[in-house]
Amino acid sequence: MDLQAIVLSLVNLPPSIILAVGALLIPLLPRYFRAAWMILLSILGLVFLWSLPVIQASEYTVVSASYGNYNLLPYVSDFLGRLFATIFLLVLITGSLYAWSLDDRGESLGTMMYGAGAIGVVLAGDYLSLFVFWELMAIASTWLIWSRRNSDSSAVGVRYLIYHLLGGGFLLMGILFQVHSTGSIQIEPFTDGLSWASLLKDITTSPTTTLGPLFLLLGVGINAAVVPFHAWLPDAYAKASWTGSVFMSALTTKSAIYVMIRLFPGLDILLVAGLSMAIFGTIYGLLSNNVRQILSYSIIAQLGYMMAAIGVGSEMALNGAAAHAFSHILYKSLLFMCAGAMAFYAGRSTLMEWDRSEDGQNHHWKQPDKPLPWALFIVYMIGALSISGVPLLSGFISKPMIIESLGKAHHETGMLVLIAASIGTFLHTGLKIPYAMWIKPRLDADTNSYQKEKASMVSSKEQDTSLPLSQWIAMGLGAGLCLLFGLMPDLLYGWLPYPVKFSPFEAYPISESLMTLSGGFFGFILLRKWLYQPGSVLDLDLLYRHGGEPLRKLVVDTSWAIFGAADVLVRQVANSMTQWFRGTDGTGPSKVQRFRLAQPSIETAIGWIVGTMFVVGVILLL
Amino acid sequence: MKKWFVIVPIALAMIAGIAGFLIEWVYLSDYASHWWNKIPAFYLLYGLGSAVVTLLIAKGLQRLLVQPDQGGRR
Repeated sequence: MDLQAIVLSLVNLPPSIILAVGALLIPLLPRYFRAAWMILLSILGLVFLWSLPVIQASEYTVVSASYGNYNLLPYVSDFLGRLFATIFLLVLITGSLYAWSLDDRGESLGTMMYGAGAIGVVLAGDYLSLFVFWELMAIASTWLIWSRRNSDSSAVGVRYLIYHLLGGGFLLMGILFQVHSTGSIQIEPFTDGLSWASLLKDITTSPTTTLGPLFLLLGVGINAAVVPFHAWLPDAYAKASWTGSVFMSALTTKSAIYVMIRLFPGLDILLVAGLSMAIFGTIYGLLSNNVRQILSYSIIAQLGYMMAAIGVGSEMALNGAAAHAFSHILYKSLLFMCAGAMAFYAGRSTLMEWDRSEDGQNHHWKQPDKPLPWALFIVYMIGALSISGVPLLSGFISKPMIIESLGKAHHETGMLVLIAASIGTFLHTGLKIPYAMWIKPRLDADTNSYQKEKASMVSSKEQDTSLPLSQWIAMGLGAGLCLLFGLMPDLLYGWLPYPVKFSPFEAYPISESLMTLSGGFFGFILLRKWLYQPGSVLDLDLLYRHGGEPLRKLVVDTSWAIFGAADVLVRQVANSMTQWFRGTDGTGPSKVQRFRLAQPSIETAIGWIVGTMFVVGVILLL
Repeated sequence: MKKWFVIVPIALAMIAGIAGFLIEWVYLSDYASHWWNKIPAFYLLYGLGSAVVTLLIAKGLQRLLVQPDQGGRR
């Protein structure tokens, strides 16, 4: 093999493999070299990704292999995949910088494996590669939740893993049905007039061709946090490690959105699901009192925008969904970084806590441990105003594109719903959080004899430097990217899968955005007191968390009792036969009567069921 | 000092609202791709209205869906 061939084969290395192999070295590296290595790997991934020639609206197979009768395509590069892989790698760079001072080998390794999985998903050209990377992503992201190492996070991690293994199980079933009906494992969009009504109608007449898309939709929908399969998201993202939630906010749901764009463009049910998600996420964001939980619900709302656009399915709508996923990752990772910094200063991640006065009667807002610095306010507000769709910031270049695509498809009600959800997002992320964390504590400073403010003003420089410099740089970089893409939208538009015939800097979107946000602000001024309620929000996870015990009794205890009874019976029979053969009256069997049954948890039982499904599925696929 | 925390955001919101309305009035007076484009300053009213409605819904659901913390008060 000559030198040119070696260089060419190296250039064709998939970025996911670069990350996964490079990640194996992480445990061997000293603390500060780890983050540097992670950043280097991500930059290397970007270089390799962008060194390949890609043509708009067409695929370029970089790596292929044969497996039996099937053609594996683990690395296919097109505009859509490259767009998603680029933003994943960018967030790996900013997130690794944010985690510079992290001293946890396992978490750093898990982060890179998670990134490798997500990038593998968006560059896969066949179902088998997609599934392998999908499961890698599920397992590595669970590790990021467990990395926080408290009792809460371990339970949340188990719930998260169950959800995602279940989603993976459905995905695998969908793949099996699909491969069975088409004879091919290549990922192709379901474009031939696929609709929800036709799917339900055909399920009885041709189940083998219908069950494939249905299970695929269900499996991907769980990862995309489609309501009512969303409960894992606010549950996990609010409890993951501080650095882990930055990556999680970017990778899992957005890789699912990518698969939705690839498989189901124009599927009508997604429009309905998207609008429901936008409203649901907005309302729950307003109800929540925890910063990361609010941001998690706002992810659901923003995913709703993308899902609605995929449901419309036009070129403009699909461009809008991809562009919004890109911008959303930029500002949401920034907001999660700011959430970590807020908790660092405030000493809590809740917005409001009641604080009793000395006589035990009066209640007032508990002040943060330290006043939050204004520099943090500026970077936070860049993220918050981006998500709200303020002109010249990243959200503004994608959100109006989706809304206009709905208008062009004559979904006027959908347009109004999405505009209302945008105002709701501005209310909870752009106003509720900053008011509680920066404005209210300062307004209350005198009435509560809050003297720390003055002390902090004296030593503000000391305060600012107490947060690691790398975190400030990471947040600054995130804010800079929001501004860059907001000011220069053509930079992003040139990477979208279809030619863009939209400009955000026209009178209509600017006027719409300024007026709606202004109206929303005055609504907040009038009714802001209603927004603050300390407490836990009850979501649909309540059903399986509280319903877990009866379910355990029904399924696990019953089956365990049956097996236990059979076991006792077998032992008694064996004992009787032994006595009969030996002709003795031994006392051994009395132990059988005292046989105690182990009580497995519901998580263990479901884990076994899902694990068995997974193994059987893999065997069937092979 | 404290009054600026209130004055500055209100002033910015008013400027944004007026600017949006002026852009609509100057550049979009003949633009009517949707039925609501004929209503002057529709988006200003829609912004205020949907914020109020959303907050009303959230307030209504608070009693049902928010479980107060131990020792807290509603």
